[in-house]
Amino acid sequence: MGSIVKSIGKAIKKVGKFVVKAAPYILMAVALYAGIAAYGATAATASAAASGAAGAGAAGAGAAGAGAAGAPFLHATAAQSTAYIASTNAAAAASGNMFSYANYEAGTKELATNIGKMSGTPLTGGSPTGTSIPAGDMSGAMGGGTAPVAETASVGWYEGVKNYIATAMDGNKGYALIAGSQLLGTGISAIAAAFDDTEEKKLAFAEKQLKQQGTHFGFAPGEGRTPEEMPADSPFWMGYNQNLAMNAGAPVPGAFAHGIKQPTTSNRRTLNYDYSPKGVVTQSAAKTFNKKPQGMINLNQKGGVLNG
Amino acid sequence: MVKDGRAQQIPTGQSVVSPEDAELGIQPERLGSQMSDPLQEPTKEEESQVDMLLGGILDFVWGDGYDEIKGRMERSPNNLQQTIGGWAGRMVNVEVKSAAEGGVNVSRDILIGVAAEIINAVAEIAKKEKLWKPANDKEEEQFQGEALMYALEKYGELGDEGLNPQKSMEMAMSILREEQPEAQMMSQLGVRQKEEAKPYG
Repeated sequence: MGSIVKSIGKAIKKVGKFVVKAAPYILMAVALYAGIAAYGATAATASAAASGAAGAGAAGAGAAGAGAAGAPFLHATAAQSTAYIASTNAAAAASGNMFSYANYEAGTKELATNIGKMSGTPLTGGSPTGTSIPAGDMSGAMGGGTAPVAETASVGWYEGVKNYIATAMDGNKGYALIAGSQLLGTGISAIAAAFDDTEEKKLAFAEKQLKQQGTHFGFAPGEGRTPEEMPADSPFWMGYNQNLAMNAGAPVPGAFAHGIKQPTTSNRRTLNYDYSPKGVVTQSAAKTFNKKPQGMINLNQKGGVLNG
Repeated sequence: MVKDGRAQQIPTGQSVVSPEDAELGIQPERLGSQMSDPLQEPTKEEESQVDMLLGGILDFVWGDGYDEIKGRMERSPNNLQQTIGGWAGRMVNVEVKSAAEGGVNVSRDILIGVAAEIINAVAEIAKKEKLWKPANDKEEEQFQGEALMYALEKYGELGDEGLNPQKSMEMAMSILREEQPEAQMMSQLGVRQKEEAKPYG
Protein backbone atom coordinates (compact mmCIF):
# COMPACT_ATOMS: atom_id res chain seq x y z
CA MET A 1 0.00 0.00 0.00
CA GLY A 2 2.95 2.26 0.61
CA SER A 3 3.85 2.29 -3.03
CA ILE A 4 0.31 3.28 -3.93
CA VAL A 5 0.59 6.31 -1.69
CA LYS A 6 3.89 7.08 -3.32
CA SER A 7 2.27 6.80 -6.72
CA ILE A 8 -0.55 9.11 -5.78
CA GLY A 9 1.97 11.62 -4.52
CA LYS A 10 3.82 11.49 -7.80
CA ALA A 11 0.61 11.74 -9.75
CA ILE A 12 -0.38 14.90 -7.96
CA LYS A 13 3.03 16.44 -8.44
CA LYS A 14 3.19 15.62 -12.11
CA VAL A 15 -0.37 16.09 -13.22
CA GLY A 16 -1.54 18.65 -10.72
CA LYS A 17 -4.75 16.86 -9.95
CA PHE A 18 -5.84 13.39 -9.13
CA VAL A 19 -6.87 11.15 -11.98
CA VAL A 20 -10.53 10.78 -12.76
CA LYS A 21 -11.92 7.28 -12.59
CA ALA A 22 -13.48 5.70 -15.63
CA ALA A 23 -17.26 5.69 -15.48
CA PRO A 24 -18.71 2.45 -14.10
CA TYR A 25 -20.70 1.78 -17.26
CA ILE A 26 -17.48 1.75 -19.25
CA LEU A 27 -16.06 -0.97 -17.07
CA MET A 28 -19.27 -2.92 -17.20
CA ALA A 29 -19.30 -2.59 -20.97
CA VAL A 30 -15.80 -4.03 -21.12
CA ALA A 31 -16.77 -6.84 -18.76
CA LEU A 32 -19.64 -7.52 -21.13
CA TYR A 33 -17.23 -7.50 -24.04
CA ALA A 34 -15.19 -10.10 -22.19
CA GLY A 35 -18.23 -12.23 -21.43
CA ILE A 36 -19.58 -12.06 -24.97
CA ALA A 37 -16.16 -12.85 -26.43
CA ALA A 38 -15.86 -15.78 -24.05
CA TYR A 39 -19.29 -16.89 -25.15
CA GLY A 40 -18.25 -16.54 -28.78
CA ALA A 41 -15.24 -18.69 -28.05
CA THR A 42 -17.34 -21.35 -26.42
CA ALA A 43 -20.34 -21.15 -28.72
CA ALA A 44 -19.04 -23.64 -31.24
CA THR A 45 -18.30 -26.26 -28.66
CA ALA A 46 -21.17 -25.36 -26.39
CA SER A 47 -24.02 -25.84 -28.78
CA ALA A 48 -23.88 -29.58 -28.60
CA ALA A 49 -23.35 -29.72 -24.87
CA ALA A 50 -25.97 -27.18 -24.11
CA SER A 51 -28.80 -28.57 -26.16
CA GLY A 52 -31.20 -29.95 -23.66
CA ALA A 53 -29.18 -28.70 -20.71
CA ALA A 54 -31.05 -25.47 -20.36
CA GLY A 55 -34.33 -24.72 -21.98
CA ALA A 56 -34.73 -21.13 -22.96
CA GLY A 57 -38.40 -20.63 -22.23
CA ALA A 58 -39.59 -18.61 -19.29
CA ALA A 59 -42.60 -20.75 -18.74
CA GLY A 60 -40.93 -23.98 -19.64
CA ALA A 61 -37.99 -23.61 -17.32
CA GLY A 62 -35.60 -26.46 -17.73
CA ALA A 63 -37.58 -28.01 -20.52
CA ALA A 64 -35.05 -29.97 -22.46
CA GLY A 65 -34.65 -28.78 -25.98
CA ALA A 66 -37.23 -26.03 -25.67
CA GLY A 67 -36.09 -23.92 -28.57
CA ALA A 68 -32.46 -23.16 -29.26
CA ALA A 69 -30.06 -23.39 -26.36
CA GLY A 70 -29.44 -19.72 -26.86
CA ALA A 71 -27.01 -17.34 -25.28
CA PRO A 72 -26.25 -17.51 -21.60
CA PHE A 73 -27.43 -13.96 -21.16
CA LEU A 74 -30.88 -14.45 -22.58
CA HIS A 75 -32.29 -17.25 -20.52
CA ALA A 76 -35.40 -16.56 -18.55
CA THR A 77 -33.85 -17.02 -15.14
CA ALA A 78 -30.40 -16.59 -13.69
CA ALA A 79 -30.41 -20.26 -12.70
CA GLN A 80 -30.96 -21.29 -16.31
CA SER A 81 -28.16 -19.01 -17.44
CA THR A 82 -25.83 -20.42 -14.83
CA ALA A 83 -26.71 -23.95 -15.91
CA TYR A 84 -26.06 -23.02 -19.50
CA ILE A 85 -22.70 -21.49 -18.68
CA ALA A 86 -21.72 -24.54 -16.68
CA SER A 87 -22.52 -26.68 -19.67
CA THR A 88 -20.13 -24.82 -21.95
CA ASN A 89 -16.86 -26.39 -22.81
CA ALA A 90 -14.50 -23.93 -21.18
CA ALA A 91 -11.36 -25.95 -21.72
CA ALA A 92 -11.75 -25.94 -25.48
CA ALA A 93 -12.44 -22.24 -25.53
CA ALA A 94 -9.44 -21.35 -23.42
CA SER A 95 -7.08 -22.09 -26.26
CA GLY A 96 -6.17 -19.09 -28.36
CA ASN A 97 -7.13 -15.49 -27.66
CA MET A 98 -10.35 -15.74 -25.76
CA PHE A 99 -10.89 -11.98 -25.86
CA SER A 100 -10.27 -11.50 -29.55
CA TYR A 101 -12.57 -9.23 -31.48
CA ALA A 102 -13.38 -12.18 -33.72
CA ASN A 103 -14.71 -14.07 -30.72
CA TYR A 104 -16.67 -11.03 -29.67
CA GLU A 105 -18.23 -10.84 -33.11
CA ALA A 106 -19.03 -14.53 -33.00
CA GLY A 107 -20.66 -13.98 -29.62
CA THR A 108 -22.76 -11.06 -30.81
CA LYS A 109 -23.84 -13.06 -33.86
CA GLU A 110 -25.00 -15.85 -31.63
CA LEU A 111 -26.85 -13.30 -29.53
CA ALA A 112 -28.37 -11.82 -32.65
CA THR A 113 -29.51 -15.26 -33.63
CA ASN A 114 -31.35 -15.67 -30.39
CA ILE A 115 -32.71 -12.17 -30.25
CA GLY A 116 -33.70 -12.62 -33.89
CA LYS A 117 -36.18 -15.23 -32.81
CA MET A 118 -38.31 -12.47 -31.40
CA SER A 119 -38.75 -10.98 -34.84
CA GLY A 120 -40.56 -12.15 -37.88
CA THR A 121 -37.67 -11.45 -40.18
CA PRO A 122 -34.00 -12.35 -39.98
CA LEU A 123 -31.60 -9.89 -38.45
CA THR A 124 -29.02 -8.24 -40.60
CA GLY A 125 -25.63 -9.48 -39.61
CA GLY A 126 -26.95 -12.48 -37.79
CA SER A 127 -28.22 -15.69 -39.17
CA PRO A 128 -31.32 -16.48 -37.17
CA THR A 129 -32.96 -19.72 -37.94
CA GLY A 130 -36.24 -19.03 -36.22
CA THR A 131 -39.01 -17.01 -37.74
CA SER A 132 -41.25 -16.76 -34.73
CA ILE A 133 -40.90 -16.14 -31.06
CA PRO A 134 -40.37 -19.20 -28.93
CA ALA A 135 -42.85 -19.12 -26.11
CA GLY A 136 -41.59 -16.96 -23.30
CA ASP A 137 -38.11 -16.74 -24.74
CA MET A 138 -37.36 -13.07 -25.15
CA SER A 139 -40.29 -11.90 -23.10
CA GLY A 140 -38.88 -13.88 -20.22
CA ALA A 141 -35.41 -12.60 -20.79
CA MET A 142 -36.67 -9.07 -20.74
CA GLY A 143 -38.37 -9.57 -17.45
CA GLY A 144 -41.87 -9.47 -18.78
CA GLY A 145 -42.46 -13.15 -19.16
CA THR A 146 -45.82 -13.30 -17.51
CA ALA A 147 -47.59 -13.73 -20.79
CA PRO A 148 -45.50 -15.82 -23.16
CA VAL A 149 -45.97 -15.00 -26.77
CA ALA A 150 -47.66 -17.72 -28.73
CA GLU A 151 -45.34 -19.97 -30.68
CA THR A 152 -46.88 -18.94 -33.96
CA ALA A 153 -47.03 -15.25 -33.23
CA SER A 154 -44.89 -13.09 -35.41
CA VAL A 155 -44.02 -9.62 -34.24
CA GLY A 156 -42.71 -7.04 -36.64
CA TRP A 157 -38.97 -6.69 -36.48
CA TYR A 158 -39.04 -2.97 -35.90
CA GLU A 159 -41.63 -3.12 -33.14
CA GLY A 160 -39.90 -5.99 -31.44
CA VAL A 161 -36.52 -4.37 -31.38
CA LYS A 162 -37.96 -1.01 -30.42
CA ASN A 163 -39.68 -2.53 -27.44
CA TYR A 164 -36.63 -4.53 -26.58
CA ILE A 165 -34.36 -1.52 -26.55
CA ALA A 166 -36.90 0.60 -24.73
CA THR A 167 -36.91 -2.00 -21.99
CA ALA A 168 -33.18 -2.20 -22.05
CA MET A 169 -32.58 1.50 -22.00
CA ASP A 170 -34.91 2.16 -19.16
CA GLY A 171 -33.82 -0.36 -16.64
CA ASN A 172 -30.87 -2.34 -17.79
CA LYS A 173 -27.75 -0.87 -19.29
CA GLY A 174 -26.40 -4.27 -20.08
CA TYR A 175 -29.18 -5.13 -22.48
CA ALA A 176 -28.74 -1.77 -24.12
CA LEU A 177 -25.09 -2.57 -24.65
CA ILE A 178 -25.84 -5.84 -26.32
CA ALA A 179 -28.66 -4.45 -28.37
CA GLY A 180 -26.56 -1.46 -29.32
CA SER A 181 -23.48 -3.42 -30.21
CA GLN A 182 -25.26 -5.78 -32.52
CA LEU A 183 -27.67 -3.34 -34.04
CA LEU A 184 -25.23 -0.57 -34.62
CA GLY A 185 -22.30 -2.81 -35.33
CA THR A 186 -20.03 -0.25 -33.82
CA GLY A 187 -17.74 0.15 -30.90
CA ILE A 188 -18.41 1.49 -27.49
CA SER A 189 -18.54 5.12 -28.65
CA ALA A 190 -21.83 4.64 -30.40
CA ILE A 191 -23.21 2.67 -27.52
CA ALA A 192 -22.20 5.36 -25.10
CA ALA A 193 -24.07 7.82 -27.28
CA ALA A 194 -27.12 5.66 -26.76
CA PHE A 195 -26.79 6.22 -23.06
CA ASP A 196 -26.97 9.93 -23.71
CA ASP A 197 -30.26 9.32 -25.40
CA THR A 198 -31.45 7.41 -22.39
CA GLU A 199 -30.61 10.29 -20.14
CA GLU A 200 -32.45 12.69 -22.40
CA LYS A 201 -35.44 10.42 -22.42
CA LYS A 202 -35.45 10.30 -18.67
CA LEU A 203 -35.14 14.06 -18.43
CA ALA A 204 -37.95 14.53 -20.91
CA PHE A 205 -40.08 12.12 -18.95
CA ALA A 206 -39.29 13.92 -15.70
CA GLU A 207 -40.14 17.23 -17.33
CA LYS A 208 -43.43 15.86 -18.55
CA GLN A 209 -44.24 14.64 -15.09
CA LEU A 210 -43.33 18.01 -13.63
CA LYS A 211 -45.58 19.79 -16.06
CA GLN A 212 -48.46 17.52 -15.13
CA GLN A 213 -48.13 18.31 -11.47
CA GLY A 214 -50.89 20.60 -10.34
CA THR A 215 -53.08 19.71 -13.26
CA HIS A 216 -56.25 17.72 -13.26
CA PHE A 217 -54.98 14.51 -14.81
CA GLY A 218 -53.22 16.43 -17.52
CA PHE A 219 -55.91 19.08 -17.96
CA ALA A 220 -55.10 22.58 -16.92
CA PRO A 221 -56.84 23.82 -13.78
CA GLY A 222 -59.98 25.70 -14.65
CA GLU A 223 -60.09 24.27 -18.11
CA GLY A 224 -63.64 23.28 -17.42
CA ARG A 225 -63.28 19.60 -18.02
CA THR A 226 -65.24 17.22 -15.92
CA PRO A 227 -64.29 13.63 -15.31
CA GLU A 228 -67.11 12.50 -17.59
CA GLU A 229 -65.43 14.31 -20.45
CA MET A 230 -62.16 12.51 -20.00
CA PRO A 231 -61.23 9.85 -22.50
CA ALA A 232 -62.04 6.32 -21.42
CA ASP A 233 -58.35 5.39 -21.49
CA SER A 234 -57.18 8.33 -19.40
CA PRO A 235 -55.13 7.67 -16.28
CA PHE A 236 -58.07 8.82 -14.23
CA TRP A 237 -60.34 6.05 -15.39
CA MET A 238 -57.52 3.58 -15.21
CA GLY A 239 -57.08 4.28 -11.53
CA TYR A 240 -60.79 4.26 -10.97
CA ASN A 241 -61.34 0.95 -12.68
CA GLN A 242 -58.51 -0.66 -10.77
CA ASN A 243 -60.05 0.48 -7.57
CA LEU A 244 -63.48 -0.67 -8.54
CA ALA A 245 -62.23 -4.06 -9.58
CA MET A 246 -60.59 -4.58 -6.25
CA ASN A 247 -63.50 -3.38 -4.20
CA ALA A 248 -66.65 -4.32 -5.94
CA GLY A 249 -66.46 -6.21 -9.15
CA ALA A 250 -66.07 -5.77 -12.85
CA PRO A 251 -64.81 -2.39 -14.03
CA VAL A 252 -67.28 -0.01 -15.57
CA PRO A 253 -65.68 2.03 -18.34
CA GLY A 254 -66.60 5.65 -18.19
CA ALA A 255 -68.43 5.37 -14.90
CA PHE A 256 -67.54 7.78 -12.20
CA ALA A 257 -67.59 7.85 -8.46
CA HIS A 258 -66.38 10.60 -6.25
CA GLY A 259 -63.19 10.25 -4.37
CA ILE A 260 -61.80 7.14 -5.93
CA LYS A 261 -58.26 7.67 -7.05
CA GLN A 262 -56.02 4.92 -5.86
CA PRO A 263 -56.68 1.21 -5.62
CA THR A 264 -56.86 -0.11 -2.12
CA THR A 265 -56.27 -3.52 -0.67
CA SER A 266 -59.31 -3.50 1.57
CA ASN A 267 -63.02 -3.43 1.04
CA ARG A 268 -63.45 -0.09 2.66
CA ARG A 269 -66.26 2.06 1.42
CA THR A 270 -65.46 4.76 -1.00
CA LEU A 271 -65.25 8.22 0.42
CA ASN A 272 -68.22 10.42 -0.17
CA TYR A 273 -67.08 13.96 -0.62
CA ASP A 274 -70.65 15.16 -1.09
CA TYR A 275 -71.26 14.57 2.57
CA SER A 276 -71.32 17.64 4.78
CA PRO A 277 -70.99 17.12 8.51
CA LYS A 278 -74.00 18.30 10.42
CA GLY A 279 -72.30 18.60 13.75
CA VAL A 280 -71.87 21.85 15.61
CA VAL A 281 -68.44 23.21 15.83
CA THR A 282 -67.92 24.30 19.39
CA GLN A 283 -65.32 26.65 20.54
CA SER A 284 -62.97 25.16 23.03
CA ALA A 285 -62.78 26.84 26.38
CA ALA A 286 -60.11 29.42 26.76
CA LYS A 287 -57.17 28.09 28.55
CA THR A 288 -55.90 29.78 31.61
CA PHE A 289 -52.23 30.12 31.92
CA ASN A 290 -51.30 29.75 35.49
CA LYS A 291 -48.46 31.60 36.86
CA LYS A 292 -45.33 29.63 36.92
CA PRO A 293 -44.81 28.37 40.42
CA GLN A 294 -41.75 29.40 42.18
CA GLY A 295 -39.05 26.90 41.54
CA MET A 296 -36.91 25.20 44.03
CA ILE A 297 -33.87 26.64 42.39
CA ASN A 298 -34.22 30.35 42.25
CA LEU A 299 -31.08 32.32 42.25
CA ASN A 300 -32.87 35.65 42.23
CA GLN A 301 -34.85 35.18 45.35
CA LYS A 302 -33.09 34.63 48.53
CA GLY A 303 -35.91 32.55 49.86
CA GLY A 304 -35.18 29.72 47.45
CA VAL A 305 -34.40 26.35 48.91
CA LEU A 306 -31.02 26.04 47.30
CA ASN A 307 -29.97 29.63 47.61
CA GLY A 308 -27.20 30.11 49.93
CA MET B 1 -51.17 -21.83 18.68
CA VAL B 2 -48.46 -19.40 17.79
CA LYS B 3 -49.42 -17.24 14.91
CA ASP B 4 -47.01 -16.08 12.31
CA GLY B 5 -46.36 -12.41 12.80
CA ARG B 6 -46.72 -11.77 9.12
CA ALA B 7 -50.26 -11.65 7.89
CA GLN B 8 -49.70 -13.51 4.68
CA GLN B 9 -47.02 -14.78 2.41
CA ILE B 10 -45.69 -12.23 0.00
CA PRO B 11 -46.65 -13.57 -3.40
CA THR B 12 -44.47 -13.35 -6.44
CA GLY B 13 -45.72 -10.60 -8.60
CA GLN B 14 -44.59 -7.92 -10.91
CA SER B 15 -43.74 -4.29 -10.75
CA VAL B 16 -46.25 -1.66 -11.74
CA VAL B 17 -45.51 0.12 -14.97
CA SER B 18 -46.89 3.59 -15.47
CA PRO B 19 -48.95 4.29 -18.58
CA GLU B 20 -46.15 6.48 -19.93
CA ASP B 21 -43.65 3.67 -19.57
CA ALA B 22 -46.10 1.24 -21.09
CA GLU B 23 -46.32 3.48 -24.13
CA LEU B 24 -42.58 3.09 -24.51
CA GLY B 25 -43.00 -0.66 -24.50
CA ILE B 26 -41.63 -1.13 -21.01
CA GLN B 27 -42.97 -4.25 -19.45
CA PRO B 28 -43.46 -4.97 -15.77
CA GLU B 29 -40.58 -6.61 -14.03
CA ARG B 30 -41.17 -9.97 -12.49
CA LEU B 31 -40.44 -10.00 -8.80
CA GLY B 32 -39.91 -13.05 -6.75
CA SER B 33 -37.91 -14.67 -4.03
CA GLN B 34 -35.63 -16.58 -6.40
CA MET B 35 -32.69 -14.24 -6.28
CA SER B 36 -29.41 -15.81 -7.22
CA ASP B 37 -25.95 -14.67 -6.37
CA PRO B 38 -23.51 -16.41 -8.65
CA LEU B 39 -20.78 -13.88 -7.99
CA GLN B 40 -18.97 -13.70 -4.72
CA GLU B 41 -17.97 -10.61 -2.85
CA PRO B 42 -14.34 -9.76 -3.48
CA THR B 43 -12.19 -11.23 -0.76
CA LYS B 44 -9.66 -9.36 1.31
CA GLU B 45 -7.01 -11.22 -0.61
CA GLU B 46 -8.39 -9.99 -3.92
CA GLU B 47 -8.50 -6.45 -2.62
CA SER B 48 -4.88 -6.68 -1.55
CA GLN B 49 -4.02 -8.17 -4.93
CA VAL B 50 -5.40 -5.08 -6.63
CA ASP B 51 -3.10 -2.93 -4.51
CA MET B 52 -0.19 -5.25 -5.11
CA LEU B 53 -0.58 -5.20 -8.89
CA LEU B 54 -1.26 -1.51 -9.14
CA GLY B 55 1.44 -0.46 -6.72
CA GLY B 56 4.30 -1.63 -8.88
CA ILE B 57 2.75 -0.59 -12.18
CA LEU B 58 1.68 2.88 -11.08
CA ASP B 59 5.05 3.46 -9.50
CA PHE B 60 6.59 2.75 -12.86
CA VAL B 61 4.10 4.87 -14.77
CA TRP B 62 4.54 7.93 -12.59
CA GLY B 63 8.22 7.33 -11.91
CA ASP B 64 10.88 5.74 -14.00
CA GLY B 65 8.58 5.01 -16.90
CA TYR B 66 7.04 8.46 -17.23
CA ASP B 67 9.48 9.87 -19.77
CA GLU B 68 9.53 6.67 -21.77
CA ILE B 69 5.74 6.57 -21.92
CA LYS B 70 5.60 10.19 -22.94
CA GLY B 71 8.29 9.69 -25.59
CA ARG B 72 6.55 6.71 -27.13
CA MET B 73 3.24 8.52 -27.28
CA GLU B 74 4.94 11.47 -28.95
CA ARG B 75 6.50 9.20 -31.54
CA SER B 76 3.22 7.50 -32.43
CA PRO B 77 0.40 9.87 -31.57
CA ASN B 78 -2.21 8.17 -33.74
CA ASN B 79 -4.66 5.70 -32.30
CA LEU B 80 -3.48 6.34 -28.78
CA GLN B 81 -6.23 4.28 -27.22
CA GLN B 82 -4.90 1.16 -28.91
CA THR B 83 -1.35 1.99 -27.87
CA ILE B 84 -2.28 2.67 -24.27
CA GLY B 85 -4.60 -0.32 -24.10
CA GLY B 86 -1.88 -2.57 -25.44
CA TRP B 87 0.54 -1.34 -22.79
CA ALA B 88 -1.97 -1.87 -20.03
CA GLY B 89 -2.79 -5.38 -21.23
CA ARG B 90 0.88 -6.28 -21.41
CA MET B 91 1.71 -4.76 -18.01
CA VAL B 92 -1.09 -6.64 -16.27
CA ASN B 93 -0.23 -9.87 -18.05
CA VAL B 94 3.42 -9.62 -17.03
CA GLU B 95 2.51 -8.82 -13.43
CA VAL B 96 0.05 -11.71 -13.20
CA LYS B 97 2.58 -14.16 -14.60
CA SER B 98 5.30 -12.81 -12.31
CA ALA B 99 3.01 -13.23 -9.35
CA ALA B 100 2.26 -16.79 -10.42
CA GLU B 101 5.98 -17.52 -10.56
CA GLY B 102 6.21 -16.17 -7.05
CA GLY B 103 3.47 -18.50 -5.91
CA VAL B 104 0.62 -15.97 -5.88
CA ASN B 105 -2.45 -16.89 -7.89
CA VAL B 106 -3.99 -13.57 -8.84
CA SER B 107 -7.77 -13.52 -9.18
CA ARG B 108 -8.69 -12.93 -12.80
CA ASP B 109 -11.91 -11.23 -11.77
CA ILE B 110 -10.08 -8.08 -10.72
CA LEU B 111 -7.99 -7.53 -13.81
CA ILE B 112 -10.42 -5.23 -15.62
CA GLY B 113 -10.37 -2.79 -12.73
CA VAL B 114 -6.60 -2.93 -12.55
CA ALA B 115 -6.21 -2.31 -16.27
CA ALA B 116 -8.73 0.53 -16.09
CA GLU B 117 -6.68 2.30 -13.48
CA ILE B 118 -3.48 1.94 -15.49
CA ILE B 119 -5.20 3.30 -18.59
CA ASN B 120 -6.58 6.10 -16.48
CA ALA B 121 -3.09 7.06 -15.37
CA VAL B 122 -1.50 6.89 -18.81
CA ALA B 123 -4.39 8.81 -20.36
CA GLU B 124 -3.82 11.48 -17.75
CA ILE B 125 -0.19 11.73 -18.83
CA ALA B 126 -1.25 12.03 -22.47
CA LYS B 127 -3.58 14.82 -21.52
CA LYS B 128 -1.06 16.59 -19.35
CA GLU B 129 1.56 16.42 -22.09
CA LYS B 130 -0.98 17.75 -24.60
CA LEU B 131 -0.75 14.63 -26.72
CA TRP B 132 -4.46 14.07 -26.44
CA LYS B 133 -7.12 16.72 -26.04
CA PRO B 134 -10.53 15.34 -25.21
CA ALA B 135 -13.36 17.73 -25.91
CA ASN B 136 -15.30 16.71 -22.83
CA ASP B 137 -15.63 14.11 -20.11
CA LYS B 138 -17.73 11.87 -22.34
CA GLU B 139 -15.03 11.71 -24.97
CA GLU B 140 -12.52 10.95 -22.26
CA GLU B 141 -14.59 8.08 -20.97
CA GLN B 142 -15.07 6.63 -24.43
CA PHE B 143 -11.36 6.85 -25.08
CA GLN B 144 -10.63 4.96 -21.91
CA GLY B 145 -13.32 2.40 -22.64
CA GLU B 146 -11.88 1.63 -26.04
CA ALA B 147 -8.39 1.46 -24.56
CA LEU B 148 -9.68 -1.00 -22.02
CA MET B 149 -11.06 -3.24 -24.74
CA TYR B 150 -7.70 -3.16 -26.48
CA ALA B 151 -6.08 -4.03 -23.15
CA LEU B 152 -8.36 -7.01 -22.79
CA GLU B 153 -7.60 -8.16 -26.31
CA LYS B 154 -3.87 -7.81 -25.74
CA TYR B 155 -4.13 -9.72 -22.48
CA GLY B 156 -5.88 -12.59 -24.27
CA GLU B 157 -3.35 -12.46 -27.08
CA LEU B 158 -0.46 -12.84 -24.66
CA GLY B 159 -2.26 -15.80 -23.14
CA ASP B 160 -3.06 -16.83 -19.62
CA GLU B 161 -3.72 -20.37 -18.58
CA GLY B 162 -5.63 -19.17 -15.56
CA LEU B 163 -8.35 -17.50 -17.62
CA ASN B 164 -11.74 -19.07 -17.23
CA PRO B 165 -14.34 -18.28 -19.91
CA GLN B 166 -17.11 -19.36 -17.60
CA LYS B 167 -16.18 -16.71 -15.05
CA SER B 168 -16.23 -14.06 -17.76
CA MET B 169 -19.65 -15.19 -18.90
CA GLU B 170 -20.96 -15.28 -15.35
CA MET B 171 -19.73 -11.75 -14.81
CA ALA B 172 -21.45 -10.59 -17.99
CA MET B 173 -24.63 -12.39 -17.03
CA SER B 174 -24.59 -10.78 -13.64
CA ILE B 175 -24.23 -7.34 -15.21
CA LEU B 176 -27.05 -7.99 -17.65
CA ARG B 177 -29.35 -9.16 -14.92
CA GLU B 178 -28.29 -6.32 -12.63
CA GLU B 179 -27.95 -8.75 -9.79
CA GLN B 180 -25.72 -6.53 -7.74
CA PRO B 181 -25.58 -2.82 -7.07
CA GLU B 182 -23.23 -0.93 -9.31
CA ALA B 183 -20.74 -0.24 -6.53
CA GLN B 184 -20.53 -3.90 -5.64
CA MET B 185 -20.08 -4.84 -9.27
CA MET B 186 -17.25 -2.35 -9.56
CA SER B 187 -15.65 -3.85 -6.52
CA GLN B 188 -15.85 -7.31 -8.07
CA LEU B 189 -14.20 -5.99 -11.20
CA GLY B 190 -11.26 -4.85 -9.11
CA VAL B 191 -12.09 -1.17 -8.88
CA ARG B 192 -10.91 0.38 -5.67
CA GLN B 193 -13.80 2.22 -4.12
CA LYS B 194 -12.31 4.22 -1.31
CA GLU B 195 -9.91 6.38 -3.13
CA GLU B 196 -10.77 9.99 -3.33
CA ALA B 197 -7.96 12.43 -3.15
CA LYS B 198 -8.00 16.15 -3.47
CA PRO B 199 -5.17 17.97 -5.15
CA TYR B 200 -3.05 20.19 -3.03
CA GLY B 201 -4.29 23.71 -2.92
